[in-house]
Parts: sequence; C-alpha cells; structure tokens
Amino acid sequence: MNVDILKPYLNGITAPTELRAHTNYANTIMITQGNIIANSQSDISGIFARTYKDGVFGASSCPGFSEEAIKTALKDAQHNADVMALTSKNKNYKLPEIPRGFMPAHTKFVKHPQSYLLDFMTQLDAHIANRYKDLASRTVHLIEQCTTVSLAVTDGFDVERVLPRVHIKIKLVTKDANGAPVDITGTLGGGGLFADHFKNPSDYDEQLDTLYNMLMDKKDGVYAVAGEHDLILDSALAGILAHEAVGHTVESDLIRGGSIAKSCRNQRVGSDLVTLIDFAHTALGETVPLPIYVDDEGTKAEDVIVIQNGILLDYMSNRFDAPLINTTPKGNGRAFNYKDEPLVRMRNTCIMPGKDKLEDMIKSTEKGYYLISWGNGQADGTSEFMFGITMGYEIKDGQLGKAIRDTTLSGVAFDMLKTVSMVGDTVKWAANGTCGKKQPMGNAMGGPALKCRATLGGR
Amino acid sequence: MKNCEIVNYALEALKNKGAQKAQCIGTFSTTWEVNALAGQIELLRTINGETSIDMKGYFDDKMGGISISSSELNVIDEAAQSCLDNSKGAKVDATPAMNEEPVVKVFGTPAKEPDLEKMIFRTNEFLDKAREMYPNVLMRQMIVLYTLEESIYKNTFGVDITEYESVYSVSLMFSGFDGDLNSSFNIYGFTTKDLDTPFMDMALVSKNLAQAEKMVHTHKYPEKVVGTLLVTPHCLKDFLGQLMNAYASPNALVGGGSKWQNALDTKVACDNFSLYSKPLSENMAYNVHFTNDGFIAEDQPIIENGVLKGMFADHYTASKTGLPRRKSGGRFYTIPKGEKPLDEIIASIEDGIIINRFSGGYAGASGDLSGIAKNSFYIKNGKLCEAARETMISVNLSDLLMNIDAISAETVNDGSSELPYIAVKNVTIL
Repeated sequence: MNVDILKPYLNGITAPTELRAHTNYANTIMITQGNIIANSQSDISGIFARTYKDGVFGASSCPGFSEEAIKTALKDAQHNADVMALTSKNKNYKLPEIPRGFMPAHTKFVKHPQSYLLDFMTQLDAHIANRYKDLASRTVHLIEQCTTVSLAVTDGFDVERVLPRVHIKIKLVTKDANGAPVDITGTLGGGGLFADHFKNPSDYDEQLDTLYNMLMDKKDGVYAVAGEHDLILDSALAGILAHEAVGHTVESDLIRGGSIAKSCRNQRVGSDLVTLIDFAHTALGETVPLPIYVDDEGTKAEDVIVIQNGILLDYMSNRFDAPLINTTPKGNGRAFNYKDEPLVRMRNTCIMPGKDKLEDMIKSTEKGYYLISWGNGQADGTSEFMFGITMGYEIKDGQLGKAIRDTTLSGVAFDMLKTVSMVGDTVKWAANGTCGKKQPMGNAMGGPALKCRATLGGR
Repeated sequence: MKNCEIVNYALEALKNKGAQKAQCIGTFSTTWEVNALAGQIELLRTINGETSIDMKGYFDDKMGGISISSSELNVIDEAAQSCLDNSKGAKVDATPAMNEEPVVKVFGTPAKEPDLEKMIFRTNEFLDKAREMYPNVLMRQMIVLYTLEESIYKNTFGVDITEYESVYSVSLMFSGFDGDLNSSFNIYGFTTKDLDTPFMDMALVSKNLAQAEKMVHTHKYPEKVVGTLLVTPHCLKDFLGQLMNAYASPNALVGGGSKWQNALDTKVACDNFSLYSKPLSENMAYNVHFTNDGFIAEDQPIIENGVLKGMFADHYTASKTGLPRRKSGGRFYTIPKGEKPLDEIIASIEDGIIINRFSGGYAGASGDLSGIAKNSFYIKNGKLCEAARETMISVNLSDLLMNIDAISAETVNDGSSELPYIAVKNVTIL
C-alpha cells in the first residue's frame, strides 16, 4: 500500500478528509528462567478514514487493504459525519489551513529471521544465568515494533512513514534477608532497528553489571523517609518529568479540559535553567529516536517550544484544537492503530541540557536522594505528577549512601520546576515508553540530570 | 466465509505446516463509538469487522506464535509459515500449554447492532444533565462504546468453543472547577447490557460528579500519620489488579519469585475477607466463557475467609510449577459485602483518608506500593473533611490484606466487578 494507491479515492471529496493505510508490526520474545514464555508476532493492518463536517468528525475503519476496505471506510466516515452534523453545536467552525505537499519515508524496516532473534535472546539469557549465579529469577524480554503509515489527505501533506523501535527488558530478581523477593528492571535499545542496537549478547556486560550491582544494593536497601527532600534526578527521570509532569498538561485536549497550563501561558513555571521542547524530528543536531515529519492529520511537523528559560510559551495541539487555544498546529496529531483517530500526542519531549556534572550535583547535596530509574508515571491537569521509582540511593554529606526500596516520587510540576537549581550537561533519551491516553502511543523522552525538591513516598 | 470457518482454516494451515499441536483464537468484532470532548460530542466512529486471529503452533514441541488482523486466506497461510519459522529457534519444551480434552460448546447468540440514535440520545442527555446538576464540573472526555463480538477457540485436541457477547461501556473523565481553579481529574466507568437506564443513574456516577465539585479547594496536612485507608470500590479494583499481577499471574508464578508461590491454603488476609473471580456471574454486564488456553471458564475463589484458595496460573504455568490451574480467565472480581454500613465505618475512623483513585507505581514482587491518593478526602474524628492535596500513601499488598479492619455492607456493581468499600488500618499517609 502507498499514497499513490490511496490518493485517487479522495477525488471529488470536498470536505476535509484523511485516508490512512496503517500497519503495526510487533515481535515479542520473553524468556523466564530459561523457559520461552512468549514467542509471537503481530501484524495489525487496516484502513482508516475520517471526514470533517460542520464542527464534527465522522470516522470509520476496516481491516486489510482491499479496495472494499477503502471504500467502506470512506463511505462510513462520511455517513457518520453527516449523522453527527445534524446535531452539531459548532456548525460554523472551520479547520485551520495547513500547507500541502508530500513527505516520503525516511527509513526502511528490516526484519531479522525469528530464529536469529530467538538465538540471540537465548544466548543473552544463558549469559546472564552464567554471569550472575545467585539470582532467584531472571527474565529477558524482546519487544520489536514498527509502524508503517501511508496517509493521503484532501488538504495538507501526504506522507509515507516508517517508524521502528526495539528494546530488550531485563528483569533480575533476588531475595532479601527475610526471603522476600526484590527485583530490578533495565532496558536496552531505542528507536531504530534491531541491528542498530544489538550485535552480541556479551556486548552489554557493563550495563548488566550495573543492573546486577544495583539489585544487590537494593536487596539490602532501606525504605525512603517519606517527605519532601533535595533530589538529584538522573537523566532517565528528567525524560519522564518532561513527558508526564509537563507534557500532558500542555496538550490541547487537556487545555480545553481545564488544565492549569491554560492560565499559565507566558508566565514563569520553572527556574531560568529549565527549557523544554517537544521535538518533531531533529534535536541537538541529531535525528531524534522517533522522528515525525508529518503527523496523522497531514500537518507538517515542527518543534513545539513549551518552556523557554522557565517561561511557558506554547501548547501541543491537533488541527481542530489549535485555533481554540490560540496556537498553530505543529504535527502532534497521532494515531496508534489503523482503527484509531489522531489524538494530541507528544513526540520527542526533552528538557534541554545545562552545564553541571552529575558528580558535582551529588556532592552539592547535604542530605537527600539520588533517583535513578522509574517504572511508570501519571499526570494530572493540575500538573501534579507521580512516578514509580524503582532504583535510587540516599545521599548523605555529598556521598551516596544505602540503596532505597521501590517508592514513589510526586510533586506539582509547575512548583517543582521552580526549584531546579542545577542541570546536567548530558541528555539521555529513552524511546521504550508507551503512553496511555485512550490509545497507547510510543513516545521518546529525554533530558539531563536535575537537582530539585519534591516529595518521596516511604515509611 | 463464516468466522468459525476462518478459524478452522487457520488451525488447518498450522497442521499443514507440520504442527502436531496448535491452537487458534479468533475474535471478530464491530464497535461504535460516540466521543465527546469538553462537554461536546465531536466524533462518531465505526470500527468495522475488527479481526484478531492468534495462532500458536508446536512443531516437535517448539512453539511459534503470531497474531494477525486479517481473515484473508493468503495472510493466514503466511502467518502459519511465520509460526513455523518462529518455532525454529525455540527450545524444546513439552510442557502442556492447552486443554487436551475435547469439548464443543457455543455460548450466546449473535447480537444486534446498537441503537445508535439512543446511544447519541443518552450521551447528550447525560452531558446536559451533568451541566444542570453539577455546574462546576467539566466533562473533559466521555466515550460511549457498543461492541459486538464473536470469539472462537479451536485447538488440535478437539476443543471448539464459540462465544457471542455484546456490551455498552461508558468512560468518563472529569474535574471540578471554580473560576480558574481546577481539581484533579477523576476517571470513572461502567459497562451495561442495555441503554434502559440514564447514565447518571448508573453505579457511582452521580456520587463521583458531586464529589468533583468539592475537590477544587484542597488541603494538605503537614504531618505524617499512620491511619486508616478507606478504599472505594473503584479504587479497590485497581489494587486487586496490582495484587493479582504481583502475586498470582502466570508471569509472577512461573519464575518462582511470587510471595504466594507456596501460600495455597494458608492465611493471607483477615478472616472476614473473601475474594472471587466470577466471569460467569449474572450480575456482570457481560461474561467470558473460556480461557485463552481452551478451558471452559468457571467462577473461582481466590481467597476464602482469609485463606488463599486459588491463583491465575494458566495451564502452562500450572504444569510447570505444580500449582493448580486457574478456573477463570481472570478479573470480574467479587468481594462479598460486610456487616457495617459505610457511614458507620467512616464514623469509626479517627484519622485516615478515603481514596477514590490511586496514582502510583506498580507493585513489584515485594508487594510494596506507594502513590498519590487522588480525588480523596481526609477523615478526622469520624467525619469526612477537606479534599486531600499531594497526599501519598504507602502500603504493602500483603499487609493491606492482613490489616483489613472493616468491609462495608454496601457493594457497587460497575458491570465487570462487584465490590464493597474496605477500611485498612496502619497505612502511612503523608
């Protein structure tokens, strides 16, 4: 399927209409204690059509790429738009104009034979078993994904998009002095192909040793003291902070739904050291992990400078919402699956680096915690956020102390960002996250280490 | 081609590729969605003929699987080849992973398409009523779905099960406001067999909207307390999901690291607490009649009078670990009601919090869990007080079960669970 095949079906249609052929490929291999628990692929493909009329959308989808699927999706979308237009309360609302053009794909997806991937994962599992003999349990989990989209639109950019990413999650379990299980999970990989990240199972000994050593520290870990603390967030946490704590509050659907960010535009929400950008495809001179050149509404993608030197400047929006919140569409309309309508989504959201070294940030902290990895996160329209913390250490007199058990970090982002007093000089990206907001969506997030104050759960 | 013929074709395709054992699960559905944003309907969507065929083949005891979204025969043929290819690198593992006793069964009959006009009417009726009854509540998003589905399980041992189901589901995301000030958003949903009842009258919808108006102005107590956590049925469902995932799921059990690995028939909760998974209950808006390894589903006890009676080990995990196989496919949690009315439970709490939504981490193998109590109110000296701001709770799931102090006489049915309020003592609240 490609745009050339889809485009003729839009001939004669005057209402703004999208026609999308969409494939989500996923490959999963999971090995626990040497047992292959999962070894499967999924290939989900279909046609999506959406038509705008008198302030409302009609949408429809059909599986497969047949001519019947294309015609049915288009016909049903138009019918649904007609039905909804009868009772629309926004009949005079027009979608904003967007530039027209065509954007070709920037990469190709290459599948490895499954036997090669299974062999790699089996070797990696055996390597871990041999290297760390005192584990209670171990799991290696490969997740290889690729989204392929051909989008034809009546107005806007047509696009061909291929967006692959691949990760291996490694979960190690040990037991503490009381026999209770203690676990840690690490992730390798990122945006791109398997071959971009993985060659030999023994190439990751440094990362594996770090993960194992952290588990051994965590086994003897202590509960964090519940309360507000000075914190050093590792760069891995700055990314989730950018995405969860700030990013969601500035999405246009949340703005329309009463997000606190609605009343904060052009106001200070962070210290001078904080600049946050949702990158479309290029950041700091390099292609970002999940580059978006044109979104699923046909909008050519641009960066959204959300916060500059602590001042909230702009929001992320889809085409419909942009005029309602006084901005322009910049390519944040993204759909997860062939059946899904585009929602306002982040792309590659990143806090920009500063000048500080991580070691100096820890040394500068008399009493607090160094937080290294997270398990999940949630946001709120109030900018209140929480992240599950899966690894961290106490800091006492500028030195790392004991490891801490799983805990939760929370705060109010637009208060917490004002406490940022040091910003690391190195950005780390993570592209393994899946954001849940009606539909799941792969996102990339990045940032440097931050020194700030926020609240930890604990005992 | 009928759906059952498509699944048959997939099973035969696997056998033709050399699979000695195989199973195929076909799910064929159509969904209609009415979607409102910021209180206005903006989208009507039809998801036609959504197809999912999960194929799993065992070639000389090496497993390969694939999931496809097409019922085209050439795609199924390619998928069968992929299963064979996938199996080539797999380890030999003869552990039984599917029902090997023949059974042929059909549950339900094909359902009708939705009353679309009534779906739109009920949605608009609800939005209008919410504006009128709760003028300080903003309905951020409302999604109303009707799904009709045919699910078919077939395997090479003669298991052939078909299930027809249809259900309406409603999910709401909303917050209270006062001028420019907004509360945390709350999320609430339910499933229902029909559209006979206005949405405002379902489950705890009205109660939650009323509470949202009171959550704009929040308070935070400065001191840490160890007090009572009163968990609402909606939030309890979330905790139960975390509990079962951490202690009783196939992934938790197969590695041998679960806290409940050797706990069957031992005390894991207070004496008056029982928990069941009831996928066949008439009280549910829909039912699930088979497990994804080909067994007819049954209602099952998980905890009875504080004693662990069952977990969710699938056939593979059960065969591997020696644990009993699950009877239900999971979820559909039911907890029998207790003796104290909710008001009496609140009146008996000296210091604590009623939690409506938990925003926190996932419980790891240890069962430790901490997070923010969202949409929640403090309880002081037996009375509901201010809405809580940035208030964290820290619990361990094992301790939570052992420290249940009271179970309410009221239960709430949201169409996929039937749960009371429970009060848990000795929880750290900050």
